[in-house]
Amino acid sequence: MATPSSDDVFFGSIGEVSAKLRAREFSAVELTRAYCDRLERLGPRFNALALSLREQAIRKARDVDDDLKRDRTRGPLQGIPYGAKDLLAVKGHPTTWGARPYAGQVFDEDARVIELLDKAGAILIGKLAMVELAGGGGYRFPAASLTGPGLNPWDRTRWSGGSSSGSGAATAAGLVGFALGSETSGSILGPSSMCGVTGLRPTYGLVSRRGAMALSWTLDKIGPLCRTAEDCALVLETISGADSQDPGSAGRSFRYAPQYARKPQEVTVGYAPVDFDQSADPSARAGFQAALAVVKWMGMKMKEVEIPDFPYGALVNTVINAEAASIFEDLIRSGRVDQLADKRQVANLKAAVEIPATEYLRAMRIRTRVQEAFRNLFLDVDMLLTPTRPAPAPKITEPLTGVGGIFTAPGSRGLTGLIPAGNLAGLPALSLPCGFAGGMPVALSLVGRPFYENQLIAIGRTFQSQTDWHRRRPPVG
Amino acid sequence: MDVTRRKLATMIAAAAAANTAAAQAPPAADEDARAAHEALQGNAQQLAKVPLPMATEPAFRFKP
Repeated sequence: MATPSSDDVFFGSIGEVSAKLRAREFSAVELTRAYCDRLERLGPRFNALALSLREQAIRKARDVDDDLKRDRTRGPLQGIPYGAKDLLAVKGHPTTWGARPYAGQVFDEDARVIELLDKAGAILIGKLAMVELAGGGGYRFPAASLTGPGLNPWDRTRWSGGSSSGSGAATAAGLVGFALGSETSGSILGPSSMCGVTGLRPTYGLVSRRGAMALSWTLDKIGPLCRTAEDCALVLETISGADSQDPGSAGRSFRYAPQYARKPQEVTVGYAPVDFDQSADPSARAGFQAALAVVKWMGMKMKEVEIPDFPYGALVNTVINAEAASIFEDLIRSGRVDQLADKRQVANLKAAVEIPATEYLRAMRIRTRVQEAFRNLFLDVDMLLTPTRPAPAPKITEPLTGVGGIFTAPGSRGLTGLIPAGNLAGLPALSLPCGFAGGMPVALSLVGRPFYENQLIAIGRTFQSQTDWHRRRPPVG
Repeated sequence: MDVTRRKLATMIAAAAAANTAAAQAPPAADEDARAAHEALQGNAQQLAKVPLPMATEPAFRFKP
């Protein structure tokens, strides 16, 4: 039996690694040990590792090997090592939420998504680093984390994104087979784009958040960061589903059925040329335009659109700030909030306690109009296409120009603001690596109507069959 | 060291000016608090500009 030491394994898709496990090229224990070695050796280099779970992972891998010997198959995730953002509870181990005030916190139950992945035979090998409190309140510097700034595997002087910093970096560096992250407004899509991995933000309510840190009850979502669109489908299929213990649960599940998706020629894509040109960082324009050419070549019908006109940044910040101030009221009023690393974030959380109810309600009423506007937009197009972020990852020393990964919009509207808008409307999004700018990855996003994941993934899979950006590997050694 | 009355007066005045400046400069925490409140005010001002029919209810029971 071979030892899984080659990069082809560490950077393989779930399907590829699963096939090797079933062909007995290596055992689940060997694979898990090799991944744990790699995660423990390289994870700290990117400030990506919050906690190694080697011992329980090896025990789980032994169970998987027993199952495989007896032909008890549990699906494609069986035996695949993965990492989870440190806001997901794992029974009996610290769950820090990336923040010093919660450094000693231990839960006695697994988060629902961890339970579901465990049943499917996936092997949790580590908790992954994150921005403190998932960026709640809004942070000024990438260093806003218990584990320091998330460093990008493509260039350690640059940020891996937030708030799922470790999930992005660990997936990009081949330290895990896939990772779970969470998004309130940009925390899956941002790190996916900056690290060059494929990330899926599910429709609000499709994945249970039981056992996950709450930042905003009406915005929080959990989703996968993977190597391919198809991997995202396999993970989403496992973690989605109704949960009576999550009040936000939509009571629906996801089944990956690419055979039922419409062909690219039957799909109308809304886009704004300005997003690929003037609104993009000059270093990224050539990459975005080449990627757009691939999309057009796929045969999809292209229609120029503009994002409905709302102050998305102000809206999403008001909703997050008001809900986070309520969720973390004890932390704030007790003064323990002062232990957070980012002093602007501390000040923002303290100030957020004073947001009047009328302002929160106004934001939530405008949000109703946002949802209506997107319902109307999706009468004309099937999905929206735009650069996930207009620029590659910033230097870790640069202050962030927006809050929680939301960056200042340029003058021309196009689809600028689609990350907060899509979150406010609860829409699914798939981020696909689409090129490089100055040696750093950039990405496109496909955004659809609620519960449109199957179609987004099918188009993403076709795009990835025509490109190899998702297969590129950072020089991590 | 010889200190003339004029030099002494200059030194005292300079020290007093430095103390006054230090007292007037806001500590970093105050600066962060001010920025935080300004950001909230900015959000509120932007939201106030959005026309909102009276019948529009908040997205409380939020279902996409």
